[in-house]
Amino acid sequence: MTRPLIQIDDEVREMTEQEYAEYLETTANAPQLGGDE
Amino acid sequence: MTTPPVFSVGQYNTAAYMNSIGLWLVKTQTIGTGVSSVTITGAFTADFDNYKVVISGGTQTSANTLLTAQLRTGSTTSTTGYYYSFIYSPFTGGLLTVNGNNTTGWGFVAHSLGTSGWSASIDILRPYAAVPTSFFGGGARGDLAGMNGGYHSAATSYDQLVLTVGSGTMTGGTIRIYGYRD
Repeated sequence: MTRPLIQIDDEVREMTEQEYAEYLETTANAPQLGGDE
Repeated sequence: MTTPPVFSVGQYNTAAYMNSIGLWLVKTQTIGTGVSSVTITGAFTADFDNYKVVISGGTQTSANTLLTAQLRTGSTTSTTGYYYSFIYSPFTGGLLTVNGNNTTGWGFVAHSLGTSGWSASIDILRPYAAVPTSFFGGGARGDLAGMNGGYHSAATSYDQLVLTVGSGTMTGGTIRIYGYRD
């Protein structure tokens, strides 16, 4: 499975499993407004 | 110094003048290609109590998306204890709010203008001190503008800022972090 890319300063790489779990939690809680895609 | 001096070409600046510079550029970070999250290390240091973060430019794969901010120290990103209130008004009228009450990050710290660039200017107060951190800011997207503010409840020192896209990915754009002169 290809995970999303994370950038730390100038380094861009695929997320680790832990980073991906944190990313999913953060985006699950990201608020939405009317008209958001 | 209450009256700002008028500088001339070739003039030497005194220490008093230089020490009165209000904002100091601490770090500039260009956003990479197709990333979902950006961590800026060394964002906050003991040099400044308070910071301004300006985010602009770049493109997004999802229109009118947002950035969520989190604080980080060492290898640990704080994912709890964030509180915020976002008050916004669509350009067609009305006044609405969205709130985060002890959630995983500060929502709406930046908005994308459609898919054509970030819009954000926020102040982050005392992130490096081992006290709760507060933030205030505003931004606009293609259909609305708003202001938000909140705080992070942990009495912990943080030196890094993590920005995560709410939907899709981002490419390019610049994050600039300035320190307010103490």
